[in-house]
Amino acid sequence: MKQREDRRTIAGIQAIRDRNPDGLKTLYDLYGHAVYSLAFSRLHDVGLAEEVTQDVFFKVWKAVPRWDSTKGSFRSWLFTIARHATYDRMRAMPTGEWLGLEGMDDALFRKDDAALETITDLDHVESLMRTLPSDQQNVLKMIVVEGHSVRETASQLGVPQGTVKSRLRLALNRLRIVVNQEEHSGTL
Amino acid sequence: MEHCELTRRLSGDLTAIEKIEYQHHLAICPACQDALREQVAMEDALVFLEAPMKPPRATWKAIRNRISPQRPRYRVISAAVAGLALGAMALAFNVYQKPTTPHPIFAADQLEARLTSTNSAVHGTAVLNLVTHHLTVHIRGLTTLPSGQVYELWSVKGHHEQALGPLHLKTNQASFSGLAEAGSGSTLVICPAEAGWTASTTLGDVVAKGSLTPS
Repeated sequence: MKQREDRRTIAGIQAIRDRNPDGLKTLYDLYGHAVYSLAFSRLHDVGLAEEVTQDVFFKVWKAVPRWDSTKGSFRSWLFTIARHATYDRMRAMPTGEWLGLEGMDDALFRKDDAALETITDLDHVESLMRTLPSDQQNVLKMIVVEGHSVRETASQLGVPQGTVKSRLRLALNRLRIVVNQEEHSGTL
Repeated sequence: MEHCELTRRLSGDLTAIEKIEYQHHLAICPACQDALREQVAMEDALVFLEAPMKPPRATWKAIRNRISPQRPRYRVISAAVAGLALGAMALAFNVYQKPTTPHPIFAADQLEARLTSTNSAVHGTAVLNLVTHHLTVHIRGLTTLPSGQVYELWSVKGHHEQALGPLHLKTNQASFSGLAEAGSGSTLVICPAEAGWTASTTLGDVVAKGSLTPS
């Protein structure tokens, strides 16, 4: 399945290089959900998330001819573009509320450290997730990806809230330790 | 201040006071800034990989229009050339015939639609500029949709239907502004995005509709 998707990605990129819009449609079908989901998870607004998705794929249309496969996967490259587009839009929001932590926006992109490179390598994140016990993976997905509260997650899993928090903490600590170990050992 | 505050932030356990304390601490602690930056990136990566949401169907149409606006551009150029030709002919006619009243050669060509529904509280207007193909829609009386849902504008003529894009909803008013492939006799339809519209048959409730006619 992954190999098939990779072939479709390559075909889409090649078609865009030939200035064929069908190539962009191929990439949109493969990754449109991912870009939109990321934008919505931060912006919490359908219209804004749609605008970010449009902007990202418009950038892909313009920038794919310059994309260098030796510098990482297309998916990771797209993820980086989508993150920047999402946070650029968040900075323009009038509420002044940013992740609930005002003043942190610049700090999030100011440094290009090795740990962040590890995280933006999506193939690597996928493999890291597989190293977690399944109960920790489930809690991480329910809270981070699906946006459930600790109480909702506990109710759905039939476990105490303390257990959910404990699994969440263990999962995050585990990921953080692995990422930082790799940062210091230079393994990517 | 420990990194465990990151977990408490994610699980929504920070009180308002703790949140302020955390912000103050972040401002002076590079290590915690790094930790937060890494966690936010990790959260984004997980959402991107799992991709739990589907964009509105009109999103691709909008992208497609942005990457290849040739058709509307050609139409604008064609209209401009036709307008110039007509203008030259009119000028020649004026020179030789000296009419007593000027001819409105460049009168704006536009279509209008009155958008109505069985619910009289929902009403609005649409204006389509036939030269630029720019459509503007304003509508009042819409009810708020559940989180994650959106109203969508469609153009329907015969068995040809096209999603034009989502409406931007504020309180009970919504608007749309953008390019549209529509013409005289096209029906504009507003319905919830998940309802859909196929072959002139709604799969959900039409909120409002109206036909474009010369103004």
